[in-house]
Amino acid sequence: MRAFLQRHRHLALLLVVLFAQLLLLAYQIKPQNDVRLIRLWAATLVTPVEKGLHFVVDSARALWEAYIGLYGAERENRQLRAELEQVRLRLHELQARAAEADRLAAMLELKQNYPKVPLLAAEVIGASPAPGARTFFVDHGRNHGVKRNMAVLTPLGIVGKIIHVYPNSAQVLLITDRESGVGAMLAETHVQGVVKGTGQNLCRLEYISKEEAVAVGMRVLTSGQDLLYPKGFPIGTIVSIEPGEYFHEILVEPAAHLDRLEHVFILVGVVDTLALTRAPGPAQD
Amino acid sequence: MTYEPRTEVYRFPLAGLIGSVVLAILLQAYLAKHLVSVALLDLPLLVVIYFGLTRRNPSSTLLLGLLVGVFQDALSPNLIGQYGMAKSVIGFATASVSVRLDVERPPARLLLVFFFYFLHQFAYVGIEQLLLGRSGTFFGLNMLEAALVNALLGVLVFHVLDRFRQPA
Repeated sequence: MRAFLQRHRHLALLLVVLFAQLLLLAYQIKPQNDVRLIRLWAATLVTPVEKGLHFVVDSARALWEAYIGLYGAERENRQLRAELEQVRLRLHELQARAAEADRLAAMLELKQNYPKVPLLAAEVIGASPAPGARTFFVDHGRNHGVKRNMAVLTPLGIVGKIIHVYPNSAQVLLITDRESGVGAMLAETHVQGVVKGTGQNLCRLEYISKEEAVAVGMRVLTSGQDLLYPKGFPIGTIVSIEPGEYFHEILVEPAAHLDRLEHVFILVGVVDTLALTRAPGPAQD
Repeated sequence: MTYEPRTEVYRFPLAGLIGSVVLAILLQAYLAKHLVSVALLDLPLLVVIYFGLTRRNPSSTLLLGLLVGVFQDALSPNLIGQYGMAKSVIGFATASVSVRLDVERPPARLLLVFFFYFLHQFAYVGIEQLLLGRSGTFFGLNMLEAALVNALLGVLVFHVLDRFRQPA
């Protein structure tokens, strides 16, 4: 026996490692609310480096762009250059003001819709290293009041929900992830269904009976039934409908630009009160 | 162009090994934020395959695969152990194969990475389907594309990593 184990020690080690992870998988399948220690360690280790990398790359890009701008300006006529610089300066100032105004307008709109819910603006600092995983990290965490299952959104539509919270960062699960599910309804008819992620760029709207009238281009909104997302917020637009056995097979394109998120808003409030605190307004269906 | 003998065993400074793993995971996470196409790549897998092919020690490489996989799981919505198990198998398999094959030539490396990418996906999807009862696809055109991209990138990455190794 000993000689056998000695001869096949590599294979034995593989079996031990796989068995240990198998037990670990079985243990994790139980429902849980707290963050696992190993996730906390990994996120604590990676988050500061991700933030640093983000800062260094952005700074380098800004420096490079400044250098390119300067190099181009020097080659121009002195008079035109002075004029151009003034125009550029003005343009940048206006663009900055416009961007700030857009951001404030979006924030204001959300504030008006949910007057009692504090909104937290957060910056996207990195994505998951697992290929295909639809998650990303934001730069706000437990120390800023972020909790699990808080809704994450942009002014265009919902983005996802917080799945793990760390001291200074949090992980967001996108609505396109296969593990994601959102209570939904059609804006035009208020027929309710569930939007599930596909692991790709589109979502699937399920449980819409074949008897119901649906059409490409219809808007899909949150129903609030999942007690995660506020009612009446845009999820996306129907882009494809195929006949199924009992239900329509519907694909939905998310309203939010999930592939180029830079800033998001976190609804920092008790989830089950959001539907009650939404103020009436033209955006509400 | 000359190649090393097929049975040569190499070692890496510990800092180089840890640096390669951490760099692969950070790069994967950082690029995934900016480039959608990065979802095709699996840089941590390439690192595990490389160390399996060069160190030729199944035990140490399967433990490396375990650590890399668990680290990936911890930074993703996966259950801890999904990538851990898949990459443990890859670490063991690559080191076992490297003892019997000449893995120094780029064409051989291309084919091996191509094959091990599929084996990794097969193991990962198998774990999802058999153990977790989730749906998944064992084979698809996008997987073929991803295997090819990883194989081509693997040849380049391995060439770079070769510069840091020393004969044991």
